[in-house]
Amino acid sequence: MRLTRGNAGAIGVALTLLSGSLVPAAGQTFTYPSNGQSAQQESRDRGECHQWAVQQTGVDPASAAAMPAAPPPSAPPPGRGVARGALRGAAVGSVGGAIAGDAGKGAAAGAAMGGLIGGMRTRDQYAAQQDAYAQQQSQAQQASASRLDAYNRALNACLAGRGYTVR
Amino acid sequence: MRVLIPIALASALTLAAGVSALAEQASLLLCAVVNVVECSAQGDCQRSTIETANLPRFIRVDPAAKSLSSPDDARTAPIQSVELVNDQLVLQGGQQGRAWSATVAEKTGQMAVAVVEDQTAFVVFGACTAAEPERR
Repeated sequence: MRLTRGNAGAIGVALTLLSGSLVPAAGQTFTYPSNGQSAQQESRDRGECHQWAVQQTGVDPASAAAMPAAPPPSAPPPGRGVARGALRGAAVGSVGGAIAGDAGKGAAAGAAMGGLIGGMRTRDQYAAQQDAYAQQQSQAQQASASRLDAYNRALNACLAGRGYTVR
Repeated sequence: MRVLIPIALASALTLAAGVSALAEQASLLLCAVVNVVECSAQGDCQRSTIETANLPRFIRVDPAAKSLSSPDDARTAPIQSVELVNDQLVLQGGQQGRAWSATVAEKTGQMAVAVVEDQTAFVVFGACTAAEPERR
């Protein structure tokens, strides 16, 4: 067949479709029942191999995915007084002579962690904390990917041992 | 003359103590932080944010208990001195190597705070209003 401008375009479209839909994503594996195992048998083998892989590696992808990410260091927990404080803040400007009045009951004094003034942070300190957090997250993701890879290899080894072709 | 000097001194001390006591009786305030500026020892100042500076949005000022506290969390700071000077409540304190001074205008509630340490100074602006004592 001679390659013309028309059929070259068609081939290009076909290749694009192939690359988009049929080529497996990175890390994705396919198993084929080489010994003619039934779908029921394959499901049972997969379950048993999953348990074996979890035992071997200590990694269960289902529970690993459910683990929440650590919050960033700068996110303070929402407090009970925020909304009430906001309402009072709206009344700013109408203080009048209220400052010199009866003394109110004091809020709890004492050294809290960080301190209100002592815990203030410069822009450089904030940036350094954000960088450290990002690095920590990146390392955690790498470690997680590495553990998942170990699990996948164990699962694939088990399936291969039971007569499945794994690619 | 020898008699007059101690009397005058005693009167002045009594007056000063009275002003200080009046300031310490000032009511509980709730202050909203509006602007934060950070200045370095090199002389440049830049706007910061409440989040970056790790400040609470609201600060409870209790002159009687001599404490600053955050309604959002458990952070506090002690107040070392409270004075009323020309219709301004003047507060001062120190914490973890930082010294701070604040003024709150009695009539408008305008607040300005300077927090200093060896290489950095923060200037914080906001506004205060009278707050009810916290119910427990």
